[in-house]
This record gives sequence, structure tokens and C-alpha cells, in this order.
Amino acid sequence: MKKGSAIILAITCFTVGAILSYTASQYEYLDIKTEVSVFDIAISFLGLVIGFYIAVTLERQKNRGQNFYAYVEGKFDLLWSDFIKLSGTLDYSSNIELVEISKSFKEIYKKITPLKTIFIASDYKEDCIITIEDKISAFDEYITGLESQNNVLNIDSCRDEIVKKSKEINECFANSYKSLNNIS
Amino acid sequence: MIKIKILTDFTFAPGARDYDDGKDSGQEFYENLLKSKYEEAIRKDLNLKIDLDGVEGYPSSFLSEAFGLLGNEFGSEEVWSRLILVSNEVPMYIKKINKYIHEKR
Repeated sequence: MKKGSAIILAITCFTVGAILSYTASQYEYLDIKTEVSVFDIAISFLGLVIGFYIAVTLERQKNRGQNFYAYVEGKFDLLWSDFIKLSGTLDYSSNIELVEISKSFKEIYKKITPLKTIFIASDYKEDCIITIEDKISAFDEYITGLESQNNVLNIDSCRDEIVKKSKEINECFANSYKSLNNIS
Repeated sequence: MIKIKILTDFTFAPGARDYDDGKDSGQEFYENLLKSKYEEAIRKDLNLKIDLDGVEGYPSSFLSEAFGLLGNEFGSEEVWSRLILVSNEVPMYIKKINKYIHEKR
């Protein structure tokens, strides 16, 4: 719904509500009073103003969440797809050049840093991105810390551990994606 | 100020931990470049600026070995206060180096 339509709807609803409330308050054993109570009108008007304020505030909050989501979602997708590429390589290869792994992690770190800054600068919880950063950093330390021969890693002997860690990180991404969707 | 730019002074593709792992290792970087530059910085009482940008990426084992050895030999606080690290591409490398310098070996 467009912002203008939402405001008009909110005003209409509260106006109708105020008129109904006012009319209902004038009934006394089904006799309609003909005189107008200034106090009741003032209360109704106050209710209208408060209702309008609440509607506008909620609308603004919703728009803020949508703007943040639109900005962050693209960056988050790119980060996740980089990690999926890396974990795919680790799933299927036996021998991997250390430089290729380092390059992949570097690309991932380059995407994490601005995302983390955006989350911290906003009012939204940054726990999810910090958890991902910590887990990826630990994963990097584990893999690039493995013994290599001529800067080539053989990961056959620790594939189960790598797959387990990679799965954990992907689950973390999935949970963060759900949290991100809640913002919108 | 004494300067090291790893891309031009050492390699574009840092290797792993030590000589057994292959060329351009953290140990090789420490023994052939980092240590001598650091000693020069101490002698002249200058800072040592290390530019980490431009390379393909740093394996954790490379950073751990090179900076772990440096911190271990010259004292972690002294090393940390003398180094100026530049890593505009991946600021997280600075965080990692800080950790490795202060890690007890």
C-alpha cells in the first residue's frame, strides 16, 4: 500500500471511529441528546490526533525497515554466494592451491566488513553478521592452518570436519537471512 | 619511517606457515624481511609501516607464523606499539595480526 493511501485510510478510520464514538456517547436510554458536549468533542478530537500520530509513526518505522532490508539484502546475497562457491570447492576437491583459498577468504572478508559496519551503524541487531564473521574467520584459520606441500593443501583427511564446519556456517547464513526478512 | 609493502617487497601470493609448507611462507617472510626491517626500526627508533594491500590474500598460518615470531622475539606490546599496519582492503587482517602478536607460543 502506498504511503499516501495508508494515511488517508488511517484518517478515515479514525474519523469514522470518532464520529461513531461521539454519537454513541450521546445515547442515553435510546434518547438522542440534541445538545453538543464540548468536552466530548475535545476528547474525540484528541483521540483522532493520537490515532493519526500512531499511524504515521508505524508507517515510518515500516518504511525504514524496508529501506534497510533493500540495501542490505543484495550485499548479504553476494556474501553468501561467495561462501557457497568456496564451500562447493572444498566439498569436491582433494588438492587445492593455498592461494585460491586465501583469495576466496579475502573476497568474503571484503564483503563482511561493510555489512558489519552497516549493521552496527543501524539500530538493528548485528549479532548475526558478527557470528558469521567469527565462524568464517575460525574456518579460515582451520583450513589455511592445515599442512601444505608446495603451498597445495590436501584436504581428504579432514574433509568430514571441513564439511561439518561449512554446513554450520551455511546454517548460520540461513538463520541470519530469516532474521533479515523479519526486518522487512 | 621504515616501510614494507608486501606486494612489491615480498610476494603477491603469501604461502603457508614454514619452509616445509612451500615458498613465500610466514617463516621466510619473518627471517628474510620482517625481522631485519623491525631491527632497523628499533635502531633508528622509528615506526615500521607494513602495507598489506594488493596481494591475493593471507593464509592465517602465514600471518600467525610471521607476526607470532615477531611478537615472541621482541615482546608483544613493544611490537604492537611500533607497527603501523595498512590494510584498507581487509581491515580484519589487522585484527588477526594483533591476536597473533599477543598469542603466547
